[in-house]
Amino acid sequence: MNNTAELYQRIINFIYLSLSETIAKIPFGGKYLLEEVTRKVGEHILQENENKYPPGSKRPVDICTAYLKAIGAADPLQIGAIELQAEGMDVLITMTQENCIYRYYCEEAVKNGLIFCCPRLGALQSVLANTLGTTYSTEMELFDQKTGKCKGRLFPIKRRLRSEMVHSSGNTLTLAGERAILFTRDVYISLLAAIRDYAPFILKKVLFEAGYRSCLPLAEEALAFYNTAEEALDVCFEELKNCGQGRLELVSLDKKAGHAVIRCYQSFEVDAVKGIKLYRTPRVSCDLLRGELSACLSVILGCQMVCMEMKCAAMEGDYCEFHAYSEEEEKI
Amino acid sequence: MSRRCFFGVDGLDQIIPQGMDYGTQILVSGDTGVGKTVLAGQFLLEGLLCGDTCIYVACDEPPAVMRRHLRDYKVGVMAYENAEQLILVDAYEEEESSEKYFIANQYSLEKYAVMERLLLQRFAGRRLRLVVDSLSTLLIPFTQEEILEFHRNRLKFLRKSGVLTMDIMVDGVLDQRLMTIAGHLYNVTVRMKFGVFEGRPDRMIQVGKVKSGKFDAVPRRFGISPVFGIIIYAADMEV
Ligand SMILES: [Zn+2]
Repeated sequence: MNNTAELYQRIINFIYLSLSETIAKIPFGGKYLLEEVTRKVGEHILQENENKYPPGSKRPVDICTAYLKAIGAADPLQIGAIELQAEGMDVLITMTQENCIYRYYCEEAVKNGLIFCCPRLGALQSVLANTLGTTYSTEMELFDQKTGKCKGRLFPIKRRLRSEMVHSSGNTLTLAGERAILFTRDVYISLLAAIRDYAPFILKKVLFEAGYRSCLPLAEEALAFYNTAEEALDVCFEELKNCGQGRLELVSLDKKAGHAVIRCYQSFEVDAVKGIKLYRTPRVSCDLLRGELSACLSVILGCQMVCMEMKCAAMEGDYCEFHAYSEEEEKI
Repeated sequence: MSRRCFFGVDGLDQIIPQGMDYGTQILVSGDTGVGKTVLAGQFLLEGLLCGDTCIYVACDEPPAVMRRHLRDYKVGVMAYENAEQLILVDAYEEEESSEKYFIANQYSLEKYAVMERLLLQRFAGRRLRLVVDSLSTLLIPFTQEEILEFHRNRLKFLRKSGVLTMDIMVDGVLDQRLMTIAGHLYNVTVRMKFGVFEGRPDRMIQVGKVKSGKFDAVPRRFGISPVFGIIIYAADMEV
């Protein structure tokens, strides 16, 4: 490889690395954006090589093989840099790091804990999407020092997080195609303070109800797309985190008994009530989240769940803890 | 532990802007059916939300009645009971109780006092709220001397232990003179009664502070909402 080619390769790696660094600071859809970039690059390559690439078969693994054959001056399959394997509609990919031109980007991104999308996988993702008309996502396993190989997976996606699809167009903001608004903390606490001034006794109920109602569609969608309660809850938690509620963790789930324990770290509501006297004495304060979690659990577990906040970081500790029981269980 | 505490009923809490100390003893007295147990439920919920450990001694009905009552107000009783933050004590069944916590055989006030003390000591180190509903039922079989003796010792212990206590007394059960003397041993009194307002039956509530008389003891009209519990009507609502 001559010096110029080496320089360009380095620049490409720096560009990708800078992208990863930049999107880490974007509140919404970081992964989505990065995937979009790698996918788009793949799409451009595909367009250029369209006539050289007739897939022939509709099997995802065949489509990827045909594409790799079409673009490579040196066929990466031939030289053993990439191995493809079919697993249902998924494609498993093993790549030798030594031969990977994105190696620097990959290593640096992983080392610094940045969101990372393998450009190679991104290209294949875009090929599959274009040929099959199905949206694919990618997943990487960390580089294995011993074997010197990376493992990746391309899989048809079930559902994209709504909170990742934020667009600003002209003078409006949309979230998953719906008009949206960003509330600053000032707006949020002013709303609460106004309720407190007029009817303090409804405040907790209003927050709970608002959380409950607003989370029902999300929970129903998650239930429809995912097989297990854990997976569906995970998606709901991811959406809530993306919306700024805080990081949620399922501590325990007993579907049979209808019991769940959930923790929230860095709850927005804890920070929001700091500095304003919403209540006369310190108390559990995350009622919006309590409503949201009640809705998620009720829909996903298929029975009405009563969820209480037992510990709140507004009082002490560094997390809030919610205990939920099924209403049926409660009645016994 | 220099925390302040409140009833959990907004209209009442407005009357005592400084709140109360843990260790304060509240006497709630009133007619049967006027809403004393609703007040007790809100007082317990307030404690639960503030992280207090709440002990409810049910003397007039089985604890299941309070359990159901709290559930009707959307309180997840099971979560609090399993976490031992809410302790429902059966002092109603005279013999076998199916409850985890019970005080059976209340034929001796001394025995009750010991049982209550043991229970409170089990949760020592926590901020405690105690509600006895109703204390008057417990006191019926005893003489005035016995009652006052029990009362003084018990309240002294509760104050020293920093237990926020709400004793409920039903009107007409105990001798009026005894009620007056007993009432003086409390820091705060709450009177709830039926009345007539503009020709219609109504409920009134009155909060007083026994020693300093700092609270305004103006009677206020109130209603009971199935969602929010006791709602004190503002003065300007009296059209
Ligand atoms: Zn909280």
